[in-house]
Amino acid sequence: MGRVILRGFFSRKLRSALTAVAVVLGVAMVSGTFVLTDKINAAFTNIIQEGNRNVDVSITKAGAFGSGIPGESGVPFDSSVLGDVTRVAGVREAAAVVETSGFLVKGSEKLTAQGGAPSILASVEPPALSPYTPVAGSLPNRSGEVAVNQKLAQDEALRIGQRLQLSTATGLHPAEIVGIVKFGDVSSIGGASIVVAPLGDVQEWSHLRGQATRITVAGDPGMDDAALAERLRASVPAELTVETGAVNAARQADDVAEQLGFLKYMLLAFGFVAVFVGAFIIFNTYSITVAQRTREFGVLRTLGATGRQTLLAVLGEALLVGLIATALGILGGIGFASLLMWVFDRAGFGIPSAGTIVEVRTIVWAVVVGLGVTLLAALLPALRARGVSPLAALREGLTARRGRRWVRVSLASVFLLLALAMIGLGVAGDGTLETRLATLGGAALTFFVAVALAMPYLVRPVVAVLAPVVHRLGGEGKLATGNTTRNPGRTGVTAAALMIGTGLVVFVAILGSGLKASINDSLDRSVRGDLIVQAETYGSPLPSGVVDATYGVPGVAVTSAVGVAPVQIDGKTESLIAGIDVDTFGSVYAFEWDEGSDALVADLGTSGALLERNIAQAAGVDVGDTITVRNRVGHTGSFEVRGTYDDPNVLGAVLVSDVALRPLLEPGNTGVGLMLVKAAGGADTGVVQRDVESALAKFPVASVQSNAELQDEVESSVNQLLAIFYALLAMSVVISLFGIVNTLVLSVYERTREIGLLRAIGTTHRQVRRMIRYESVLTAVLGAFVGVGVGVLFGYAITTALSDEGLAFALPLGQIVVFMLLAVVAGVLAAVFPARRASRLDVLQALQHE
Amino acid sequence: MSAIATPDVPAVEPATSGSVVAARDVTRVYGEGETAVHALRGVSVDFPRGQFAAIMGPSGSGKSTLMHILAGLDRPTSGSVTIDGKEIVGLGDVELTKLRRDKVGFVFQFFNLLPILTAAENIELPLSIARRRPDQAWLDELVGAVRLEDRLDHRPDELSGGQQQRVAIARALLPRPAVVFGDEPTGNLDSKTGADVLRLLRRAVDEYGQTIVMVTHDAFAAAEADRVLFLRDGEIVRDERHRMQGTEILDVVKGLE
Repeated sequence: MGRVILRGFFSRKLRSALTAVAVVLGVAMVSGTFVLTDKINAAFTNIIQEGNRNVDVSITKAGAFGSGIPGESGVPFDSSVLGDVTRVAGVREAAAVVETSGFLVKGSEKLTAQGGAPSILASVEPPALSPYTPVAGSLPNRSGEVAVNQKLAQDEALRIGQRLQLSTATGLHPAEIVGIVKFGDVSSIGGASIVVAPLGDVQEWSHLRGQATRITVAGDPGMDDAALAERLRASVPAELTVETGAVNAARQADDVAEQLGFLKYMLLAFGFVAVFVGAFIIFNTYSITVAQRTREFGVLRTLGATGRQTLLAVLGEALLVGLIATALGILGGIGFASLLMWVFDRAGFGIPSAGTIVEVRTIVWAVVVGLGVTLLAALLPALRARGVSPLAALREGLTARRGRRWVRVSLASVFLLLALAMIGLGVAGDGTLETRLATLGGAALTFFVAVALAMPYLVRPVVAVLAPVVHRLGGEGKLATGNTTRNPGRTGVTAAALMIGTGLVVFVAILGSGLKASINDSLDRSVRGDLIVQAETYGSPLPSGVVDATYGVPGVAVTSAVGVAPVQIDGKTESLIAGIDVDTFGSVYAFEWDEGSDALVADLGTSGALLERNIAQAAGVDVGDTITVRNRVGHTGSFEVRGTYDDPNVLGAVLVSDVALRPLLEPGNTGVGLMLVKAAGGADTGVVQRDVESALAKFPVASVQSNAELQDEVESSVNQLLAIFYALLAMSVVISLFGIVNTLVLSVYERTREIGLLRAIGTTHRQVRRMIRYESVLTAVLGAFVGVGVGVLFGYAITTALSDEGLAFALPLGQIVVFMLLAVVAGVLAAVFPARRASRLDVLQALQHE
Repeated sequence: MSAIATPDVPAVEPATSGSVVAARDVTRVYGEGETAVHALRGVSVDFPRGQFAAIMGPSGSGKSTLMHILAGLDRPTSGSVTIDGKEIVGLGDVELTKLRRDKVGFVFQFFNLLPILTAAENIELPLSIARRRPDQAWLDELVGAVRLEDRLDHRPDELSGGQQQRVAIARALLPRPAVVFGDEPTGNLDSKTGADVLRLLRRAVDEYGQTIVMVTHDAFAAAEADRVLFLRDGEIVRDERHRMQGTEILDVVKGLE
């Protein structure tokens, strides 16, 4: 029997290969995700360890809560602690460190980091503690000297002795390059740009005088790190975190891993979708194969094979295919990880990478997913093989057993009702947003299964709609519609695989267009200013001088600065607090009041606050209540909620006066987070923008955008996200195309005699090819058509569920038309190979085919 | 499958145990009510060891149904069937499968070789399914008898129809079954190769004492048998327990139609 399995596998090489592709791609995505994230993690861990190489004990201050800015691990604290630290016995050397953001400016060119990586400005430490080692020149020593990382120097052709300017939160400062450094043994940290300067300069230029973000300690030779940390803990204020260099490195590595978690789970989700789609292909292939082998199983049964043996014959072949596909999938995963790394690199995301790592966990997952899905999908066909009667050996021709219709119909109905109930609960239920989204996710999966089960019943109606068009294409068209509907189960499952991919693509498109539409709509409605000034580096404050610099610029009517800081409301709800200039804010921003009126703004004083409705809801407060807010370093303030307004997309914050915000600013925060500028009536905003830009030239960190530019930026960042999602979903679509190829090849084989007959009575090669092509396109369009329906339904459900969060439903009709056209093209492509096989059949041999 | 009615508990006395294959009052009804088809209307027959029997009859006479039931491939509506003294009516699928494995061989009209296996592998297939090793001397003897020594490594599609049927015969004989059933074994062959196949079956009976029950349309095939049974409308109408001439058989058949 083992021989029958092996020989069968090799004699069905083509279909085994096509089936394997479905598994290989899915497994590659799943294992590739692990390989990629392990790779990035290892690289970051290495970088962090390198940075802590010389550090025996690290002293930091944890924020009361996270800032939400990736990579920011703590808050500044009073650097005078250093004095106490150096006096502790066992401490050989200690240094206060400030790490903040800043970048060099060459002429008018800003040498910022690429692709969202940070532009780091760090203070220099004594060589014994420094993570930076010069590869040329030396570490900066005197005020005005800087060193840059090797990668930045190479990319921007920087040399020792070059005089540039350093942009920080206080403006521009002269900087002479005296050294080019490596961080540990690497030339860069991902795509980050690093400028190293003396501590005094960094403190002075970042509003961090007398502050440190970290104190690093080297112990005496022979001094145990943990013991030293214990000793230090007793001599510094309790709010500081004292830990050994190794523990600190491990904690930072954990933070990185946690942040990578999002990428990992997102990629895994797409991988599982691909695997899910692959399951349909495997199921279909084995179903068809078992039907075609009915007679063979009958013969085996007459020769004394038990039903169990025929079942195992099918499962054995599936096991073999699954094993080979899993192995190839793991190799493919390594390739997939490298491909993604390359894409990230090209897209300008600065992500460091280490050598390829294949963990045992990766292989276990690949085997579980690859073998598991192959065997599960082959189980039903295998059970059917078990049920083949020995009498099948004596019958002529194939006698396909009809599936039990009522089982399928009732299962589909149950899943459909379940999915609809979950949609209802997700859209209108009163659970938290997370549980409602999870419910909708479950609903999507259930719904896909329901539609896939119902697919065979959709074949005839959909083909009937398309028939008039296809029939106009001649006799081949008629044959094609007939062939597509003669085995609706087979066509249905093949189309279902494509339905899932298309459904998700349409869903993502709807989500994306909703996101773009709602953000831009909010910007249009609420922002009355013409220009928006923000920091070049995300999350940094603007120099306070920017406000004064715009005064007197011709054509500027109003300038209004907004200070921003992260806070926690009543010790639980994290939010941003925004300090506005109560005299000017009304001219640059239009409130959409939930409760309250414009009159409230001028009277905010030092104790009034306005809350965005969603934030008020999350914090559970109403107008008239008093809230206590606390910033990350522990400053607190109390405010009376005077009004609520709607604007989740642009200004989701606790709004107070700029005077009231001042005591809640952390060290280093200038109190200007962004600035809105309104042009005078009749002034050309383009000209005003240019004038404002030149007025702000001495503050390169400030970037000036018009409303239209900001909207373009929102649109392009959403588009970028969509492009990534489309690319990942493309895998599932490709898998489903292989499914169409496979089904066509198998049905051409099955219809060999019939095709021979068609050729014998005068059908041309070309007509046979066309017939197969039409069948392929009909299947593809069926899948895409139903997929669009499912996608639109879910897009509508989720945007409705999220409408409070400011998401609107917008139907991307143009894109949907493009998807349908792509489905037609895909159908044509999938038909190329099977059609060629069909048209090349030898007429005489085909007629004698059993 | 659901078309097959559950057999009644045999209400008749068991078939004679002295024969290799025996049937007692076997009936087979397909369908129910007005559309019911009575394929067999009470057939009793015994096949002693070493007999080469042919079953003849016009289309729809029930000869194939009788063979299927005797071989345990189909279940009678009522009656009893024994193979090698063992009652097979009422056996479960696994027991029936085991029985086929040990006691029954088949030769089909369309050969039914597995295209993916060589001739040698096809011959050994029933034993490999049963996880038994073939008796090498017996295998050599059989291969010699069917003259396939130089064709053993060939796939079925590289063999002529006659060669394929000889492989099938060797496959049927190798496990030394109690009985070999032939389902129109010459039906798909020209008369010369058909005669060759019949000579082989004859030899199996004469030299190895094999019991063979063959359903056929071909009077000259039936003329090789020791006994010819004629069926019509689900009943045995003649049972000639001697070798008959082909022309003689043709006359009987004409009389039946």
